[in-house]
Amino acid sequence: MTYNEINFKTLTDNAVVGVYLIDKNLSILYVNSAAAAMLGYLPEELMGTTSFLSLIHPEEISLLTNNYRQRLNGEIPSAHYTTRGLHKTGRIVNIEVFASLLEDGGERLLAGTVIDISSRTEAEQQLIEQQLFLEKLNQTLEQRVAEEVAISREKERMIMQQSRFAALGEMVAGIAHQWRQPLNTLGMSIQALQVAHAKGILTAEFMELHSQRTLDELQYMSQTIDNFRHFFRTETVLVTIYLDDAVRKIVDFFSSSVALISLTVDARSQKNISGHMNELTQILLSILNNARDALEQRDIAEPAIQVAVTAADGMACIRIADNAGGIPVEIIDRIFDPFFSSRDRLTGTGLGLYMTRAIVERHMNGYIAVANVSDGAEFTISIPCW
Amino acid sequence: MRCLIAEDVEFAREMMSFFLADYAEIDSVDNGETAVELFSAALEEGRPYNFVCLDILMPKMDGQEALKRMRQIEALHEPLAQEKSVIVMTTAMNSLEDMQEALWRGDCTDYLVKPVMFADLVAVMTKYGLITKQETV
Repeated sequence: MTYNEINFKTLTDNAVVGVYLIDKNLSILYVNSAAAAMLGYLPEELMGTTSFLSLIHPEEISLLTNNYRQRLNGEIPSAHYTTRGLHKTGRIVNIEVFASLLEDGGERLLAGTVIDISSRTEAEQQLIEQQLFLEKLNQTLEQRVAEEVAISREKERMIMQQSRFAALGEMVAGIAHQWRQPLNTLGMSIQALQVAHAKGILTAEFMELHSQRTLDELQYMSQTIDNFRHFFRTETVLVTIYLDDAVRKIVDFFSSSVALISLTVDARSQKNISGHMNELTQILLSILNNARDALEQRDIAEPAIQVAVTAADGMACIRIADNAGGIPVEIIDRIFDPFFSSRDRLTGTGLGLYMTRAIVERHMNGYIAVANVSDGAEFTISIPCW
Repeated sequence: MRCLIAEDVEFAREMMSFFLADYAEIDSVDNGETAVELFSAALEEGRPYNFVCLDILMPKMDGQEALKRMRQIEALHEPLAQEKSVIVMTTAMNSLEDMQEALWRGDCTDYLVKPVMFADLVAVMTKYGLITKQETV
C-alpha cells in the first residue's frame, strides 16, 4: 500500500459516515464498515464482486445511472442527493449521498460519502402526517365551531324573540293595569246617567259632569297607550340620557302600579350616559317589577323600594333595594341565567333579569350585581358616564 | 238599612253612594283602617252596618285585612246568623284569586268584579235579603 492508500484506509475504515468507491462499471471497489453496515453487510461481502446497482431501490436506478454517467463524462463534478438503498433484509434505507469524481492513473472513479437518513426521513414523514392530521383537525374544528356558533346564535335569536314577546306581554299587562280604574269609572258614570234618568233627576249639570268625566277618562286611557308605546318602542340611535331625570321618570311611571309600596328616589349623580331610553326603562322596570312581586308575594308589612343614583370614577351607579327579605342563597347565583325564574310558570318568563344583564353588559358597557342586604335584595347597575 | 262603603277612589265612592242612596243610610271612607273603626263603633252603638262594600286595594289597610278584622270584631258581639253584616268585596280581575280565598274562608259574603254594575249591586242586596224586589228601581 502506498502512503496515500494507508492514509485513505485509516481515515475511512473507522469513519462514522459511510464511504464508497466504485469504478466506471459501477462495481464496488471499496466500502467502509459504516457504509456496509447501513445496508446490513460486512465490507468484504460487498467489495470486488457486487454491482452497486443491486444495492439500490429499483425505482431509483435509472436516475442514479444517469447521474453517474454525467459525472463519469465530466459533465458535473459532484452531486448531493438523497435516494433509497436496499437493506440485506429487503427493507428500504433512506440515504443521503455526497458524491464526486476521482481520477486514479487515468481511470475515472466515483467516490462518495453516505449517511443513513431513515430516522430523519421517518421523522419528516411523521411530521407531514401530523401536519395533515392537524390540518384536518383544524378543518373539522372550524366546522364544529361554526356549528356551535350557529346553534348559539339560534338560541340567542329565540331568546330575543321571547324577550320581545315578554316585553309585549308586559306592555299589555301594564295597559290593562292602568285601564282598570278608568274602566270602572266609565262604567259607573254611564250607569249614573241611566240611574239619574230613571229617577227623573237627570239635570243638565249632571249630564255635563258625567259627559266630561267620561271624556277625561277616555283621554287618559288613550294617553296610557301612547305612554306604553313610547316606553317600549324600538330605538336604533344611541342618545345622551341625563340619568337622574330618566330614573325619576321611569320610577314615576312604575309608581302608578304600586300604590301600597313606599317608593323613594334619591337621584344625585348629575351625569349623562349613552344608551336607549327604552332599554334603560326595560332594565329598571324589570328589577322594580321583581321587587314589587316579591313584596306582594311575601306580604311584607311595610313594603318599600329605594332607588338611588350616584356617580364616582366615571361610573354611574343605580341602586335598587327592597325590603322583601332577600333572594334565597341557593338561587342567587342563577338569577341572571336565561329561563331561570323563581316565580311560577304563569307569571315569570325567566327572561327579565337575563335580558337586563345582556342589555347592561352589551349595550351599555356596564355591569350588574345583586346582593342581599339587611332586609332585602339590592341590585346595582354600573354604567360609564360623563 | 245602614251601608258602609270603603273605596279609595273618590269618584267611585261617590257613584256607589249615589247608586245606594235610595236604599240605605250611607257612610263612605277611603281606607280600610277607618272602615274597621266605623264598623266597630256601629256595633258598639247597637246600630251595625247591614251592608259593607270593601275595595281590596286601599291605603293604610287593604280590604282583605279590614274584612278579617271586621269579622273578628263581629264575632265578639256573638250576632245571630241573620244579624251578621253582608260584606261584599269589590275587586279588579287581577285580585280574583285573593277574592276566592276570602270566600272559601267564609269571611266575605260575596264579591263584585269591577267595573261595578249598579244592577249587580241591587242583585246582591236582593240576594241577601237587604231589599225586596219591589224596592228595586
